[in-house]
Amino acid sequence: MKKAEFEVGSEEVAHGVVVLVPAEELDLASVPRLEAAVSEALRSGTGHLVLDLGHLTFVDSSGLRMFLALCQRAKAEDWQLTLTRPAAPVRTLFEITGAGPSLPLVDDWESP
Amino acid sequence: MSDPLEDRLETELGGGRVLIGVLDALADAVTIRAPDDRLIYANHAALDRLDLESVEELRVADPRDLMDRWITTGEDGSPVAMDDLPSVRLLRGQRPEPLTLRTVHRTSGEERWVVLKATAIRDANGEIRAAVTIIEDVTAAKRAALRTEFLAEAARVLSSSLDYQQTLRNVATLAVPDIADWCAVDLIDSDGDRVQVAIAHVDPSKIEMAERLRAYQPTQPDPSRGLGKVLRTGEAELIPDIPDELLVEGATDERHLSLLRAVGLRSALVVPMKVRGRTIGAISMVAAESERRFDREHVDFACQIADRAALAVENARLYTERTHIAQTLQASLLPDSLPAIEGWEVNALYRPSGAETEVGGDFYDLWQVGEEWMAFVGDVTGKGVEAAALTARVRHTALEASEISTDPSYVLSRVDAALKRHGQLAICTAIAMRLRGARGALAGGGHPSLIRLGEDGVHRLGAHGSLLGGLDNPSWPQEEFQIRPGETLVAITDGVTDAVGEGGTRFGTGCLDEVLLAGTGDTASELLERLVEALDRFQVGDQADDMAVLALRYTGEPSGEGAPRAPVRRADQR
Repeated sequence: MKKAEFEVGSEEVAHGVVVLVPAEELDLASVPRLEAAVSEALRSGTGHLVLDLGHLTFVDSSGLRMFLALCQRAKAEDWQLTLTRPAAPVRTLFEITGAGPSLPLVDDWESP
Repeated sequence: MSDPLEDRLETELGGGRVLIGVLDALADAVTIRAPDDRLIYANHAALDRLDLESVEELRVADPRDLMDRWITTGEDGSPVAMDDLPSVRLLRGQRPEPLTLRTVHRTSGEERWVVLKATAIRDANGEIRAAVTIIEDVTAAKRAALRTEFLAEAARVLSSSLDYQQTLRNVATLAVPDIADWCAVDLIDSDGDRVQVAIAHVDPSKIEMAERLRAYQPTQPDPSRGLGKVLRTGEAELIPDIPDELLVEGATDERHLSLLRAVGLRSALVVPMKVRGRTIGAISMVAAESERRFDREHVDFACQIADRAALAVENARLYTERTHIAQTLQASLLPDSLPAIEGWEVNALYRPSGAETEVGGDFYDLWQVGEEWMAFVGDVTGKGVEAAALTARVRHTALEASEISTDPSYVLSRVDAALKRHGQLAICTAIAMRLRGARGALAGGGHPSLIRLGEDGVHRLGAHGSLLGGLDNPSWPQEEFQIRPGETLVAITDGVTDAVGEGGTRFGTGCLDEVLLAGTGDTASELLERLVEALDRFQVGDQADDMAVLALRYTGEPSGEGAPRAPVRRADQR
C-alpha cells in the first residue's frame, strides 16, 4: 500500500529556531499537512524555520511548489527559511527542475 | 384467618369493588388470567385495548381466538404464541421475564408496542390461583428508538454512494421492510415528467408485479391526487386505508384492477423529496402483506427520511454532473486527434488520476508552423478548474510563441513569463520540441528528459532547463538532434515514473526503460499499448497522478496513411 502515514517531526533546537522533519512522501495529498505544521511553527513566533528533508522518500511537483512558495513567504514576512539534508529523491528533483539554486539549501545544517 | 387490611377495605370501602375501581382508573392495562388460561378480568384500559365491551364478553371468549385478532411478534420480529406470554408461563410454574411485543391489529392495522409483566396471585397454601398481567404501552418510546436507529442507518446508507442510480436504489431499499412493504422513488425533471424510478419490495418476487403496476402510472401523473398531487403541492399524502372502491376508481382497466387487487394494497403514504424548498421527486410507501396501517406519525417520519434522501440524490446528481464537466473540460485541453506528419507516425496516451471530478494538469499538443512541427508535453502543478485554466493558458502561450519563433527555448521562456504574470505561484514542467524531417531541436523546463529509442537502446536527450513559472534567473539550454528511420521519440510526464506499485514502489525509469527496450521496433501505437499493459500490471490502488505520453516514430517515408489517428486516450481509466 501507498504511504500509510505522513509525519512531521518538530523540535525547537535553539531560541526561535524550529526544525521540521517531514518523513515519507510529500505530494498533493500530504502537502497540506506539512503546510499546517509550518503555520503552527510560525504562529509560535519562530524567526528561523529549518526543513530537514533527510527523511523524505518522494517529493512531487506539489512539494516543490510548496518549497518555492515558502521562499516567497519568508521574504515577504521577513523570517528565515533553510532547507537541509535533501535525501536522494529530493536532490534529483531539484536537479531536474533546476530549482536548487533558487532555494535556501544547506547540505548539512547544524544548530548554532 | 383474616388480613387486617382486607378487613378494613371490606368494611370501609366495600372490598373487591374498590379494587376494581382503582384498577379501572389506571392508564396501564391490567388483565387477570385463570389457571385454565381464560382471561377472567380486564380493567377499562385492557378492555379498550382488547376491543371488548365488558368483562362478561371477555370471560366467554376463547383466549386463543382473542389473541389471534392481532399479529403478535417479538422484538426480533419472530411470531409469539399464547404459550410464550408471561401470564401463561407463570401459570405453568415458570418464572417469566417481562416480554416486549409488537402487535398489529388484523382489522384496523393499528400497531402498538407493549411490555407484559406478570405476577402470581397465590392462595393460603401458596398455590397459584391467577396471573395478573400489567400491560405497559411503550409504542411512543419504542418507535422513537427505532427511528433513531433507522435514521442512523439511513445516514450511513445514503452517504455510501455518490452514484446517482445506486443512490436511488438505496433510497428505495431503505424503507423496506421496516416501514413499508414496498417503496418506490420517482423523480421529476424540469417539465414535471417522471424520469427515474426505483422500486424495492419486501418480497423480491413481487418487484416485477410492482413494476407492472408502475407502468400504469402516466409520465405526467394526475395532479389532483396521489403522486401527482404530492409532486405538485410538495405536501405529503396519507391514505390510511385503501378500500376496494378506491382501487376500482383508480384502475384504468380490468387488468389494472386485478393487478391492484393482487398486490393487496392496504395503506399508502406519499411524501415529497424536497431540496431547498423545491420538490425533486417523491417517495411512495405501500403497506400490503404486513397488514400495517400508516398514520400521521408515519408521515412525519417518512418526511424526515425523504428530506435526507432528497439531499443524497441531489448530491449524487451534482457529483455526476461535475464528473461530466471535468471530463468535458479535460477533453478540451487535449487535441481531438493527432495530426498526420509526413515521415512520422505519432500517437499519445493520456490517463487522468483517480478522482473523477478533478481535471488533471498534464497535457500534450502537436501543431504545425510553416514547414516545421512543434510538439509540447507539459505538467501544470495542481488539480481542478484552476489547473485547467493554467493548462489552457500554457497551451495558448506556447502556440502563439511558436508563431514568433519555433526555437523550443524561446517557447518555454514565453510560457515561463506567462505563468509569472499569474497572481499566485503557478508552476509547470514541460518539454518543447521542433521537428523538421530527421532534424529536431528541444528544450526542457524541469521536465523528465525526452527519450530516443532505437537499435542502440534508450537515450535521454537534452539538458534539464529550469522549471517554468517559479524560478529566478531561469535558463533553457536548447539542443539539436538527428533521428534515424525506425527510431522513436518518447516524451512522458512524471505520472508514468511515479506510478505506485506493490509495497509503495515506484515504476521509475528502470521499469520504463525495460518496457521501451522490449518495444524497440514497435509502431508508436504498439509501444503505447505495451506501456499501458505494463502500467496496469504494475499499479496498485488508485492512480495518484495524471500521466501523459507522446510517442513519435520516424519512418522517414512519405506517410501513406494520411488519416489522423485518435490518441490512445484512456478516459475510462480510474
